Amino acid sequence: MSNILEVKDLCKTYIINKRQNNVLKNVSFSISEGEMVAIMGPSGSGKSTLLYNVSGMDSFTAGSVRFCGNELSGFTESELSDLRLDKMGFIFQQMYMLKNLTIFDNILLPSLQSKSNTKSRKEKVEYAQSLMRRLGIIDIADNDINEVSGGQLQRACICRSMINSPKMIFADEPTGALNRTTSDEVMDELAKLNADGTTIMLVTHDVKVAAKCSRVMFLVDGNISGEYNLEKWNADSQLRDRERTLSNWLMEMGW
Amino acid sequence: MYINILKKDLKRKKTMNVILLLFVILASMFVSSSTNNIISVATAFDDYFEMAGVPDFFAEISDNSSIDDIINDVDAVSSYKTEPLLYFADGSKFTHNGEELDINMPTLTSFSDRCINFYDSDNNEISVVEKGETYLPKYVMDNNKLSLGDTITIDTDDKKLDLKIKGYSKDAFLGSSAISMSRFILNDNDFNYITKDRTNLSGSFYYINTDDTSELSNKLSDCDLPILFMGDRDTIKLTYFMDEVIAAYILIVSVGLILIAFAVLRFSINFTLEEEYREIGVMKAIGIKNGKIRGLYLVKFFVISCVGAFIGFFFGIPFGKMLLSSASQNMIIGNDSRYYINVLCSFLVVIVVMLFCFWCTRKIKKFTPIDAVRSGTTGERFKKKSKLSLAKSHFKPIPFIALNDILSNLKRYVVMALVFIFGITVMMILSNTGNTITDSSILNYMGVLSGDAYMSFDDYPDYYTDANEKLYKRCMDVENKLDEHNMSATCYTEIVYKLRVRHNGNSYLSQTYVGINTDTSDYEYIEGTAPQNKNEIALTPLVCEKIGADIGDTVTITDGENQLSFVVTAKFQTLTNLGEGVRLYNDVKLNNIIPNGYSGILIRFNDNPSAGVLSSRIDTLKELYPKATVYDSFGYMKSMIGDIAEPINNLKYLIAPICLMICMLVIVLMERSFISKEKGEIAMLKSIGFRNSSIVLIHTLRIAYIMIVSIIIGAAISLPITNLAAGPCFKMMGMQNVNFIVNIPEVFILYPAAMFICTITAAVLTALCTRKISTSEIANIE
Repeated sequence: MSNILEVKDLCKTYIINKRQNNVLKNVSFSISEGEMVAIMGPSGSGKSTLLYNVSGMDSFTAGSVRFCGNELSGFTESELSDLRLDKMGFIFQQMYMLKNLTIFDNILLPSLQSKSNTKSRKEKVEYAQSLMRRLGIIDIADNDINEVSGGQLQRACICRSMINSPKMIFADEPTGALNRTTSDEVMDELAKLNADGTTIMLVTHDVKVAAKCSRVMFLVDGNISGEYNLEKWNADSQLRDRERTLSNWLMEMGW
Repeated sequence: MYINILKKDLKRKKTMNVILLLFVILASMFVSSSTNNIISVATAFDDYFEMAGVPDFFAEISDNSSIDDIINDVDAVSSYKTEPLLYFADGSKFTHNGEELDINMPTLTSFSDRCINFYDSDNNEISVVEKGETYLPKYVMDNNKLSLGDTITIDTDDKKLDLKIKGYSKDAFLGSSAISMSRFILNDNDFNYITKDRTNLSGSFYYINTDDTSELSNKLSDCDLPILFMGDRDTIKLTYFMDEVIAAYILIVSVGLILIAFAVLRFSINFTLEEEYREIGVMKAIGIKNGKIRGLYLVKFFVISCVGAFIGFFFGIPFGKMLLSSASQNMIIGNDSRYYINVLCSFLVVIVVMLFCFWCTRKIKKFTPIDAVRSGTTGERFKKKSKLSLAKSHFKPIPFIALNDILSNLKRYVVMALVFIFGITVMMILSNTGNTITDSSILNYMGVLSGDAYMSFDDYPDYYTDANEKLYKRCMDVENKLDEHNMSATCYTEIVYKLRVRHNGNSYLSQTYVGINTDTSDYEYIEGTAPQNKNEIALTPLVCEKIGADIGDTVTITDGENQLSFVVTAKFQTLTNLGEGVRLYNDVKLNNIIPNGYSGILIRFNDNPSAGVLSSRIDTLKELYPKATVYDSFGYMKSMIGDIAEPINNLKYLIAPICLMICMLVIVLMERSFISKEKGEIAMLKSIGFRNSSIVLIHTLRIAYIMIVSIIIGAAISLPITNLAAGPCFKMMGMQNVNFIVNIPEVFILYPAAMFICTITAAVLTALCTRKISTSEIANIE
């Protein structure tokens, strides 16, 4: 499998009150197409910053990020926008959506905005409906965002991230605001997407969530201090073993 | 604690606090300057007349006649003064650099003989006029492109006098361009030099102070002395009708600005407090009492409103002066002595801000901490937000989001729409009034038939006898000559008499018109039917009022020893001679009365020529009749009532940029508020791949939609509002029914386009701030 994301010597520095704060320090890693990678680490270790920097949401101080072979630092603001629209999908911990639009319109919006998505308007609408049906939220299509539960909203966010069939989805603690049952349901959906070939990189604190990924990277003080490879998860029966091994490794890493 | 929290709040929420401060400054500025202007304008005439010492009653007597005996016979007269004057029929004796000046009846007054006070351009009383210097009306300077320091020469038959223009004078009595006399104020030596060796002067003005103007008026009307003109203060006031129109506009603009100020204030306070709901929830959650939380916001708003009102007070003074500057160049309208009003208004703004704040924060008591965290909604009942469906519509995402945002938060955009509608309507009202007042159809309101060209001749003594026949022949001659030059036209004229009309013991000396080669039914009447017989007559409402006559009454006119009786069949309106006028049936002959003059030859071409053809025909007329002064309809109107287009244009050029500026300012502040509130959503749109340009477009389109709707509403209501606003001003002048002329390209294209371009530019420039919002600010979303 070829690498979809290659990160080399990535540094991110914030200057706060004239004090330099190095959040990411020479981070290097790569993610192959079809992988599902979890970033774990203690609070303040730079997990979300890493996610935002490698996805072109934020600019980095030094280093190199190559997405699908293209160096992100060479992209203009507009090219980065197009990249996020067509080739990347985003899921956040809070279910950010436009409050003046219905759930369905929020999901449909990126596809209508995309120039690369050559489907007709009707096909885009049908595809959005099929995504919602697949994630079991077709009933709330015409609801406002304040009329549905957090789990439903997060699934809607997953639909939105999928609407332009991106090459890779970035998720920042996608289950952070959800209860266990809902969290499991959302992760199941992400795993299904991954099984269908979508690369996923997610940030999480939850071992149960990370256990469903094929690889876990552990970030401490802006450095990747270790990686743990898991086999691709394909059966619930394996889950408990995966969680246990992962927990053991995390404890070794100082979790 | 309050001070610490306040300090942190002011620092942390800089944008919203600065926006609120700017709105308070704006409100304070508008309210204080506008209120002061309203009071100034409402009392302007009385104040100005009082300052200038305008009398209760005046009369103009020709030659060396005297009305002293009559005045002394009226007990109510407390005092009177006389002012000798010398006037000339036209400006032909006045030149500048050898060129004849275009001056309507230049009139000379000696400064030491003055009976009223004159003021200069800076509103200072003129205390001295040096030898060789003169002050003259502003419109004379403008019409002849004269500047301060220019020298004009008066060249009478035997004397020549050079006068340097020291400045223009504000003359409360003869200062309006609607008065046919143009007064030059001279040094005593210069005046004596010009009048020396003359057996008599042109006449004199009587300035009379009396408690009973009607008794004096009746007595003067009944005498047989050559009284050319007389009236009371209200009559003088009427000469300032253009200034009244302009003052009325300033009132409208001022009231509008006050309404805008309060609407904008309410918007910004509500908007700012909505920003604070989450913090209110947190404070409630940690146990701070409602009163203390409310107090915290009241203190903060109090500080902001005090600072804003203070700054607004200072900005309000020059802003108010700027608005008033266009009010009149002929009179004094000042707001200098009323700074206490500005102070009171700024204080009022603080009170209003505090009341709004008190009202808006009352919800704090009702909210549970969680309700407040949820931005003021109880969570039990959410309002449906989305109004349109992207999936079902055919809109592209960007125009859709913009439209849906407006429909989902309609209240938020109402203030913006009101400001736009106000701006566009004010500009359209001014345009409609300006176009109406400069359109040839205004001649109908002057009791003159509208025509294509007008020729005035300086030969009226030729018509002292047999005027009807001679003038009819003159009209025919002109018609024949025009025919020979392939300019087939109908020509007509009016003989003008100064006649005393009597009814029930009352009498009034009025201009009286007899049409030649025309029909009384061709003229417009506001009431009744046109005179159909030689014993029928039409009067203006002013004459009716003076002699107590109405339609159906019989009035009399003396023609030598004959007492002629006429039945009043109609009323007509006229702007000339302050609304006085009598119209007899066409071709009526008054054998024993010498006409005062005739109206010149009015020409109406039979082929309805275009503007270009008309212009070349006017040139041909000038060649055919070198001794005549040839006018187009606008020029003729200008010669009759002065240049009324200029003041209205001046006002237009001042008010239009102010309206545009206000709209732009409101857009910048409101758009800035929206951006501040929508930071999270903007970041989210960016995170899912919307370009900066797309977000700028969404924000700009929202303003554009509101602008388009406002323009449509403004255009739809502009004519009724013009009628409502300007109609009463014209009514005061005796123009009962005015059909306002709408200049379609100006009103429906130029102004909307200017407004659209300015507001959209402001919107784009402000929306460019969204570029600075990074995707990482997504956490600001509510």
